[in-house]
Amino acid sequence: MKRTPLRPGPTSTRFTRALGVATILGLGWLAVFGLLISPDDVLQGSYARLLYVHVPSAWLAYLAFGVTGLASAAYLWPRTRSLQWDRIAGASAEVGVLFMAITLVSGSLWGKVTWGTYWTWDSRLTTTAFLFVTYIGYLAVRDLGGSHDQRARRSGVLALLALLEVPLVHFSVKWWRPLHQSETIERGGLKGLMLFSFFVGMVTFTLLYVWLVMHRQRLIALNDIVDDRGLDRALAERRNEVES
Amino acid sequence: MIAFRDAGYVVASYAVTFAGIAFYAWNLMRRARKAAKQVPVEDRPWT
Repeated sequence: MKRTPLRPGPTSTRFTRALGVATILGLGWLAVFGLLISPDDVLQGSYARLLYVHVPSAWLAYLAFGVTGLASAAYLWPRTRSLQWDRIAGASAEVGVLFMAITLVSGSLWGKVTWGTYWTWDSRLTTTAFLFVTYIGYLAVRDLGGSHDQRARRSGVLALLALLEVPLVHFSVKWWRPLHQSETIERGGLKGLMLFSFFVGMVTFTLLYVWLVMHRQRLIALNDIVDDRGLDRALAERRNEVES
Repeated sequence: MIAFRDAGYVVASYAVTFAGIAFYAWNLMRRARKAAKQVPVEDRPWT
């Protein structure tokens, strides 16, 4: 029987398809390990299972904002200037905002069962919320209009400024001794199957990040092509009007 | 196995995470399909 080749997706390639399958398998594995197989923690009991989605989400948001900063620097540096860097920066920031939102929601659910409240103005939570709002602002600035280069320049500068907040959030648990616990992994708080489940979460979320950013930056490229064609068409029509 | 009394917050947290990811990915694909209708395959740099 003759096999029909897969219809190419708008932003997919063979690589992104394979990455997508690996990510779905990883997420399934994480759900089974996190909810059913992983043992309970001595202190937090079942609530420690929140760690497997909460910490990877936070890690991914940091990674995404770090990539946004690096890609913005690559655009602003004259020798490496390319709109491709700007698209990667924009895509990464949007994915980072999604995972920061997930971190805030899963963190507030964890806070309710351990501290008795969904929200408290402790230094880690406050700096995280501030970082979230900053990157929403970054995404809004990207949509202000103008040429692609204007968009890339103004958002690139903003991304470099916003990146300064990331170490502030990370080290807030060391500098201000908040209600939020310090690094569980660095203190060796996870062992055996719990540590394994945690790493499944970290690897899976990182694969997911790569998959989402690849698709998102291709979507930005598609929109840029559509915008350029619209502009070319408008210029041609104006030229015809002047000539006739 | 997760204790029944603890299940609500843990399951809600996983549900929010997975639903959030699924919704974003679905919306991304929907927007990509819409934009791709205006750009021929040969003009897409990754194809």
